Formats: sequence, C-alpha cells, structure tokens
Amino acid sequence: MNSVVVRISGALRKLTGGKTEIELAAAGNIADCVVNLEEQFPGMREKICDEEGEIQGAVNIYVNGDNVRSLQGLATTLKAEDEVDILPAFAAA
Amino acid sequence: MIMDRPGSQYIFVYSRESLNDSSDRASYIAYRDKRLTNKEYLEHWGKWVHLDDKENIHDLARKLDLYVEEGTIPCVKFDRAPQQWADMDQCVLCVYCDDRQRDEVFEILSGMGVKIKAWTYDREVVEKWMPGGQYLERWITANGLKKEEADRTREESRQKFKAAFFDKPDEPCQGWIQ
Repeated sequence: MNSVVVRISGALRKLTGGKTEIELAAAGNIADCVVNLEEQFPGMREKICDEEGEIQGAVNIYVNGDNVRSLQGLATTLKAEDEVDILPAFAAA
Repeated sequence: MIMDRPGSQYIFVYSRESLNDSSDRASYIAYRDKRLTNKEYLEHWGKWVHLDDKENIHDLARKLDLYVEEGTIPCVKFDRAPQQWADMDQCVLCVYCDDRQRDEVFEILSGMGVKIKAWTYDREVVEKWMPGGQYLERWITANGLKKEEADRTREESRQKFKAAFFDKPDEPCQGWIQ
C-alpha cells in the first residue's frame, strides 16, 4: 500500500467541500482509491462508478497523465508518489 | 497570438508564422517541424487538459502565447466561459502537441503551476463526436434536437470526420473545425 495524491476537478469538488488535492495514505490500485475517497467524502463512489461498478462515462481518471481506461481501469496499480487526477470527461471535448 | 473569434465557444492560440501560412492553415500539426499525416495525427496528436476558474485559465493562456510564438508549443485552445451544455463549472484549457513531445510540454505547464496531469488523444475526441459518441449525443440532447435534426447532425458528423481523416490517411492533416 502506498500514499498517493488525488486531485479532484469539476463538479466533484462539491463533495470534497472545495478541496482539490487529497493525499490517500493507502491505495494499492484505483479501486482502493475510490473506496478511500468514499470513506472520506460520502457520495463520491456513485459519482465515479456506475451500477456495474465500472468507471462512469462522464468521468475520466488519469494516473500520471494517462487515462486508466487505456491502462487496467479500476485495477490499475498505484505506486508511491503516483498522481491521480479525476476530471469530468467533458473537459476533454 | 490569441485568436478570439466572437461567437465561438473557444479561443485559440496560434503562432503568427502558422497563421500567416495561407497555403497550410494547419501547419502547427507537426512534430519536430514535420507535418503529420492524418494517420499520424490519429496515432500521436493529443492535448494536456487543464481546468480552472475563467480568470486563471485566460491568464495562463496569455502566458502560454509566448511559448506558442517561439514554437515550443504547437497550439492552445481554451473556453471563453464554462460549457453549460456539459454541466461544466470551470473553464478548460487544452495544450496540443504530439505525444512524443508531451513530457517537455508538460514541464512548461508545470513551471507555471499546473498540477492537473490529464493527457487525451485526439482520436478519443473524434470517436466521441462521431454518431453514438458520448459528446455528440450529449450535445444533441442538451440542444433539444428533434429526431430528424439529430439524425442529420449525426450524418454530417460522420461525413465530416470521414472526409477529414479516414478517406486520406497519408495526406497532411488539416485538423477539424470545432
């Protein structure tokens, strides 16, 4: 388990009380990140994941700049000091 | 040079050199001074996406203008205002380049305080503006198009991208109008 920085942009900031940068102490992969965020900011999981537990179409998650959809999705592993960005997908339009 | 066309959602930053090249309006779509073909564009071209409040985004664009002018950054696009059809509450700034130079471009952004690190290939964007794609369908819904208008819009979109990229893979890429 590693400590990673998660940055939140767009409407999801409403759930974090405007906080844009969150350090998560223990996250082995993106799914862990989502669980950890949900614990701190209830409601986050349903904004990020759909009913099947996959990443919502309206959200993009990046690890060190790369969209996790092109990596291993929620199973994308994280190492110490990785940077995770969660953005509304429409930002890339 | 900041190109602000009234009525457009987007404001662009191009170099004077590329703007003055009337024979090639997309000369900035290049890597190490070599123009990209349509095939190369879909393989390599993309953008760093950044979000912030309108004032900060417009300020950042003005700073990046210098790098576009000297040719270090090929092109920048930013929102005039948050895009309400997409429920956005922040403005977006996109810094375009070839993926083979994306790290050096991000260093410039990082030096200006940008932390968000989100790379998107243009091929992903093209896909989402095609019929059935997430952006086009959202836009159609947000603008309340009736079925006939929606179908026409989808067909126009399909034709636009087919003509722009897929019919002539080895020709210099001319980009697409947004």
